[in-house]
Amino acid sequence: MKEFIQRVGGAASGMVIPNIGAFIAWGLITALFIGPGWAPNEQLSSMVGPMITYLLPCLIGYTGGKMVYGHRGGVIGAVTTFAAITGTGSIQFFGAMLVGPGSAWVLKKVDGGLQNSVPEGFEMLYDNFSLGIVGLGTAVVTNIGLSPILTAISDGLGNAAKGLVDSGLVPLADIPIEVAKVLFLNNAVNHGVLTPLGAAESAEVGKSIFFMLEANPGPGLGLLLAYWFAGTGMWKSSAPGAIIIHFFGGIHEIYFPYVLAHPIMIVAMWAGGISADLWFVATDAGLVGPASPGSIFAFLSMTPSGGFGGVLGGIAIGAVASAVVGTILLKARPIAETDAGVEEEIESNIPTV
Amino acid sequence: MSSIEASEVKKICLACEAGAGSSLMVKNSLIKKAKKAGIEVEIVHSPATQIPADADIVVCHKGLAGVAKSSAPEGSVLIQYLMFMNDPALNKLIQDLSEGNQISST
Repeated sequence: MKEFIQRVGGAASGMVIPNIGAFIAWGLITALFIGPGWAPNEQLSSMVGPMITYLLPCLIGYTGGKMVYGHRGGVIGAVTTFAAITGTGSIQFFGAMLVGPGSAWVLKKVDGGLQNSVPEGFEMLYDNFSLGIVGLGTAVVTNIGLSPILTAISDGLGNAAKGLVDSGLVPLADIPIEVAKVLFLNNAVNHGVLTPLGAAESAEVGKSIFFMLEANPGPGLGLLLAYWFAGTGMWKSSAPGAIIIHFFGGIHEIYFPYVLAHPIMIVAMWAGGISADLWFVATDAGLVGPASPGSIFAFLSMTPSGGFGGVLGGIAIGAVASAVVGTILLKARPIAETDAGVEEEIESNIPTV
Repeated sequence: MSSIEASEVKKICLACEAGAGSSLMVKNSLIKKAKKAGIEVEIVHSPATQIPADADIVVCHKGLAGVAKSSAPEGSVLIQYLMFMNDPALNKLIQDLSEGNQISST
């Protein structure tokens, strides 16, 4: 089960992660040039809408197609994604994740059946027109046939997300998120689910809390601080270096072993994550675009003007809460460590789903 | 249980979930260690689901070993580590490579 989720989540996040740079460019343009931004500029802010509506989903559809069938798969994936966007009239990240790889798979099958029987000298003609004609087909089918389904999916997800925010239950989402993270589902959760939801929300209201639920570096910082204060042996001595990589470099994976080796520490992560999210909700905080990797610098660059209190407050509260709870836990139930026994200890404590 | 002679190792692949963050970091630290030990071998990184077909040794965190195993090329050696910094398994890999030992899956 865990491997299945890792695999599906890996496919979804694998379509988004190579394009995060474009999300960040869009986030920076938005943060700077829209009406309430740092340097409002009507001419430059005209890029914001088209980029999120067309460019970013098409990049995801391209990457999804490329994963299935190389560059040709990417091209038909982008073509078909465009059909999904105009067919539904909405921002189609999840649609792109479906039709991008799907259309590439169709082209791969068609090529597999025909490519070997192309006469000499007609290869280029075949390559260009087979992609063009299959692309015509997948685009028409998507635009007319799949659009109602894609609309239903994105409406359903969007409404569920909105309902979660409106009901104030967002902090509870932290309970599964923290567990998923340390099971190496961090990118699957963040970029497979939260980044698309956040981008859709941010396009509407200018910022989104979804960008911060998984990526907040505060709780992980607190956990590592707890190990630095109250840990023992190699766990204590490695904590400061891990803090730099985690908090400034944004590689959250560095703290996962500190939870996996001593699973009760997940409680410290929950304490940090939930209290940070409560603060985010209370102050109506959000980021403009995805903070990836989850470094403090990425957070600062994606904070909307006037939003620093909410964003930095949540990071600080998350760090303090998980540091305090983590220290208490480590005092009450010290991590078992003998020089020879560390590996076995870690091994026997890796949770299985 | 796969194993390989150190002299036959041409390509080592560091795998992580996304192939963008931790694998890149561990790869760079491994490259540094290999350089220091005078080992000439290609070291790359990838997502755990897309390990290159010509990798002789695949290195990944224990939590991703299941996924890495199924996408690793047949006959390749899988080395699992637990810590992202200074893991004994990574140090042992460098030691085995420089001493020309046989390297086995962990």
